[in-house]
Amino acid sequence: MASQVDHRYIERLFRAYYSGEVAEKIFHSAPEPEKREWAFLRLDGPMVRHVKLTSIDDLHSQLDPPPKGIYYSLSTYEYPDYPMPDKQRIKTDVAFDLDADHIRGAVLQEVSRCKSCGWIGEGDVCRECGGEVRKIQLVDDRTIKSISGEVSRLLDRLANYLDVDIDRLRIFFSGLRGYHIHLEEEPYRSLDSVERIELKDFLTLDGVEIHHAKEPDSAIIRILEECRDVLSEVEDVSVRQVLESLVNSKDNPRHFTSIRKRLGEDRVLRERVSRTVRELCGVNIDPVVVTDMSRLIRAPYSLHGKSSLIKTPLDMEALEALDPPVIALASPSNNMVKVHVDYVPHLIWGGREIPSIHDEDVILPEPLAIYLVNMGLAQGLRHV
Amino acid sequence: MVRDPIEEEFLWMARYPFHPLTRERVFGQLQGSIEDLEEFYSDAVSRLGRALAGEKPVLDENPHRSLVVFYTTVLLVKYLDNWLVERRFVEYEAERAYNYLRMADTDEILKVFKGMGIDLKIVDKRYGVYFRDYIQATRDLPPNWKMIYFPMERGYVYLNKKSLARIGKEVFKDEIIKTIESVESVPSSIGEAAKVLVEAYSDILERLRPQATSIQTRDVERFPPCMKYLYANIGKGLPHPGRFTIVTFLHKMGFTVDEIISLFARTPDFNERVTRYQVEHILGMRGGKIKYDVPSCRKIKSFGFCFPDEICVKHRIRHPLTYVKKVARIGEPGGS
Ligand code: SF4
Ligand SMILES: [Zn+2]
Repeated sequence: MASQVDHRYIERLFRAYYSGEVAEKIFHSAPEPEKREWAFLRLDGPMVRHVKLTSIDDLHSQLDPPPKGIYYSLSTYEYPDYPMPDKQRIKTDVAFDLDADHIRGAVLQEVSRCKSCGWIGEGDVCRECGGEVRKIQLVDDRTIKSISGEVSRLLDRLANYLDVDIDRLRIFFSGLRGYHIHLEEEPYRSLDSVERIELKDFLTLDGVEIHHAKEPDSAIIRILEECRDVLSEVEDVSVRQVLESLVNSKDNPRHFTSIRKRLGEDRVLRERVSRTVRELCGVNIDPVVVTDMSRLIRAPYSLHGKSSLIKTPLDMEALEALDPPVIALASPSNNMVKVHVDYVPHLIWGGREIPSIHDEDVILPEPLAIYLVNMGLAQGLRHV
Repeated sequence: MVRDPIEEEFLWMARYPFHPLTRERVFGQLQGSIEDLEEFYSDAVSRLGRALAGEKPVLDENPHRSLVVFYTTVLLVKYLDNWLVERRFVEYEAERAYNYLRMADTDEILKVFKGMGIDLKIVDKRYGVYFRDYIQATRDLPPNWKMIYFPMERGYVYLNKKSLARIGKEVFKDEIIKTIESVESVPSSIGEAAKVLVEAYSDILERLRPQATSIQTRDVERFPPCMKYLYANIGKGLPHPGRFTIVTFLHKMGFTVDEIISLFARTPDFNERVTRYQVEHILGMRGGKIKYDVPSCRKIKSFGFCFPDEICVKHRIRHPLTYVKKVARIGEPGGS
């Protein structure tokens, strides 16, 4: 998408970033780095997989020319550089990927581009020719903020119902659209695939039907109770009533039994209720990341190829305060850059207000400019 | 009433004859004297017969005798080596012990579970099972046993006594299989007892014959994960249970003996004659003419080749052939 010139600009930035001390941080960001498969997405496209790194020097040799993305395997292996079936898995970290793309209520800014005349702006149809538009979604501070509640929800479930020590989790801004949470403790690293699937179902509420709840204080009823403040949003009246009475059935076992029975008999209602519970109370993690033990994850302190933002560790306090804004924390530099913007809506980027821009040369924070170039909304990066 | 502690111990072991604590104390010795068990054959035949007929377990036998009869029955099951017979036996024995467990007091419950390596604690008259043990124990139970339907707190799933006993029964099944697996050799005379059994229960055994699976596939992508793994590793030399499992499975999927043998040709110590003999033996073309069936998931798991995917878990697959049928019905395997 980006022109040759822009390409070179981005490559220079990546090169500067990776030539510093950061290689050491990246290498040690993976527990037992020598036992992981590493992978490097090359700037020109291909993904180089099954790389074994035994030292920081090995990593250095992969950083020139700079890669667009650096990943490591959630699993540790006896033979990380062998093809998949021969690697001999040892342990597998559990990772949770919370991405604005699949989180209910995530706030994203939208830009529309006409499929026929190329017009760019906001709205559902082209203002020039009335043609169909393609929507491009943009992340800004509001996006990150809007999904931080989902992180708390996840952590609460892990700590209260399971026995995860929250202080030992590693929480990261993923570099663009959300959070990665790494769980690298026992017994979780040892979970087998059945246990991982059950863990995933427990969090996402996949396949959960509430009428199976055995008791008024079953986990699923308590979970429902914890999201009671969103129950009033449920538009379907009969579903809302069922859920409210379940939550209120704590001290009334007879009542609880009768609702269960009603759901057991009414399949249509039951399915509507289950769907609602899943949507309201399920944690919106990417399910595959939890269940797939051959998964790779972006290495902490590496750059996100689209935004050039750093996958950055966050502590709980920073996460709750969101101050300074996560994007500011994750910027590899404070440089400003000149760029031609076709269109951007009003954005808040790293605490900075960016007014709506239309067909203009402007000066923007470097990562935002790169992001817009990569999204096809800007071009012509130049040093100020 | 004060009872003799040694007698108490025997009673306990007779109630849970497959339990690791029992196995440790008794079966090592018995394995050393298997040729002297003939006097128990007829009891073993009737114990297994009841299991095959789906009858209710008998509870109050003489504990000493009952322990040895159990072990002799295990030898018989091992000799027959048919997964349907084994399944009935496992079900029967698990049910039998479950009947005791339901009536057990707290001490007995703790001893039973802890001795099987289950992390169990008692809080306010409820039984907390650590979630990993809970998931493993409920693998084959219907989906309404998902842990989220029970109270949960800091990693423990809380159950009442009845539900706890029910999952105890599931863990018993694994222990019974382990008991069968642990048998190193069977007495030479047991073939006679087996013959008696086969004659007496021929109608039931006939009905137990697996229906011919109409669904076959030669597409490895559609194999269950255990078979994919075994298939991929044939060339590296598999341990005996692994060979056995993949051979029975491939045959069911329509591979000919020659095709199966040629897959083994890549093994480091390949010897065509030996391999042919082994394969034909497994497929019942030689020797005892016993045709071995594809082992059940429980069994494959005990061999260490079970790597369940979402299909296995979601559909609570208990036999690899069911997996193949499921995939044929729902399309592509794998979720990612
Ligand atoms: S559950 Fe059964 S079919 Fe699935 S991998 Fe395990 S043994 Fe194979
Ligand atoms: Zn247009």
